Amino acid sequence: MHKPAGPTLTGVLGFFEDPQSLIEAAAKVRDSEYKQFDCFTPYAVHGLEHAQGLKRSPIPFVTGAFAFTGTILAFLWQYHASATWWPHIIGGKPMNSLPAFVPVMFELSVLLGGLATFFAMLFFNRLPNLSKRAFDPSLTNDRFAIVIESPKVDEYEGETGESFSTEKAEQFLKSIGATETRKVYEEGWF
Amino acid sequence: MGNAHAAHHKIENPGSLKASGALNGLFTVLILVGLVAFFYAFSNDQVKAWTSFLRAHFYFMQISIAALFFVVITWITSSMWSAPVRRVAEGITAYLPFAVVSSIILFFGMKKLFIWSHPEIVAADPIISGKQGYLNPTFFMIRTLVAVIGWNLFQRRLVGASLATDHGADYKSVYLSNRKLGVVFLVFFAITFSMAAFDQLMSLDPHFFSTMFGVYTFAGSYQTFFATLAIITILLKRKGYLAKVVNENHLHDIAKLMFAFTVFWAYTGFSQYMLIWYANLPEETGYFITRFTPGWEWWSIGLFIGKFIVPFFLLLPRTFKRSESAVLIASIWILGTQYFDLNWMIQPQVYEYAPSLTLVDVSVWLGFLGVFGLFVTRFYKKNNVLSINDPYLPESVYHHHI
Repeated sequence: MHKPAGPTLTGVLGFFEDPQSLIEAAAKVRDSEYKQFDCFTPYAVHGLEHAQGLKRSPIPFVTGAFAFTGTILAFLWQYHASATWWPHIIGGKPMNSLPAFVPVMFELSVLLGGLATFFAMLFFNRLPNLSKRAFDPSLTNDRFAIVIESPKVDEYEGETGESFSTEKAEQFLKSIGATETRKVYEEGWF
Repeated sequence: MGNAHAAHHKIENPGSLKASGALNGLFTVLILVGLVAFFYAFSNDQVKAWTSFLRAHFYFMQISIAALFFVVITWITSSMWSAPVRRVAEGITAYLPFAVVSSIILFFGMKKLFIWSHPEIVAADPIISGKQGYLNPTFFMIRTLVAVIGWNLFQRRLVGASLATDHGADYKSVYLSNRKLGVVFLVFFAITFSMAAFDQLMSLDPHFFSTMFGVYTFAGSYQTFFATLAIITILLKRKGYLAKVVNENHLHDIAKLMFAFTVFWAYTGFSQYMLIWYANLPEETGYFITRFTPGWEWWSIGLFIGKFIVPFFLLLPRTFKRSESAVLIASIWILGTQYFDLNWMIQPQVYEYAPSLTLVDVSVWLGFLGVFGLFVTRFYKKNNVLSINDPYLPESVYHHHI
């Protein structure tokens, strides 16, 4: 199969007018043959994550791992600084003074946990992404959409032996309540 | 699901609790056990009797006043999520009238518990003499009574107004007046609760003082209150009363607050400890030296692990916070550790060399549990267990976390 000339087709976009029909449609797409799809809403819609069949975000586990790493690192660093590398008695306290270390252990947990959360969020959201633009201004205002992405040609043929049919996808979106459908092409930056 | 449908949803009134007489019988037996244990100890070892009494008295008083604090916070913030459980918390405040009774009984044990109530000890001790203007039996009784009677007056007005909405009172006017009165209560509560903690717990060692003591006691109380709220909510849900209105998202919120105040308790406890440890002033360190000498040392370390580390990891995973059985286990654990915390605050002043926990201590606590059970179930039997006319209720039934 050869790559067609012109901009690359990346998927089909279907518009919905209210969150309820979006949730119902998303559940139908989830159970259909289309495995790569996403929803776009102007605000957080409760229940959509179940309808889409999304798994739990891995970000909290990253936060936890880095926060506990911070706790241990801060202890080791303070312990070695004040008890083995430069042993000094300060204020009549023991060299290994755990109560004095705790505030720094807490702060480093917060710092590493917070930074890790931020970078993990960027990583799992594949941000910053400069090559994709908003599909339609109404998606940040009053309309809702489902995008069915066309799989990469090779992968798709490998699985089912059929090529992605935009007409079929558009018909499917209309059949589950989309009021308008549109083809989506990959756009470059500039 | 969508909130658009919420407004049209009619919520069935679960009515009031229909419990058999067996429950009352059980509570009465507990009270009898407590009475027998108290009088047995009273005739043998009065110090034992009064320390057990003070611990159990403060334990249930702090839970019920923390419940009123929570109720007021939900009025002031006009919180939506708490609509199905606010009445449950109001039921916990129904114990407060008994706190007046137990406070008055406590006055008879003053001589056995507080060394500042002995004029000859005060005269011989220049530090306590200096504090005599505050630490004297008359002013102690006045402060204690002002606090508990004041709490009861606020409870009657705030909870009474809330109950009136079930019988046709205008919700909006109740909401506005409870908000105003609630703010006054918060100020009153902050002062009187700190004083209660200073008077009844901190003054056991009249040489010691810590400005963190009030907030430390409050942190433990609020944490224990959320454990109590979780247990009663889950039981009412399992019995079918709240089955249609409370879902795992409400449980998640209660467990999150329980987790938050577990951390807050550790934070206040550590702040109190670390500053005293750092400054190393003789009049402050005595409190912790007693608690870190062998005999009490393992208790202090165990308290930190039991009341912070264990519930921290029990309540950290999201799946646990949303599971009834996991929240039940964590709540029962926290209720237990609060008893150990109060014991840590009270007993070292009397039993300096080792903790003393006997059947008497447990039985007196069970006696108070019986009273608490009687008062709280009586409230649920007399009133609806759900604030049925709360305008936030239809929205809250669909409460959902992403």
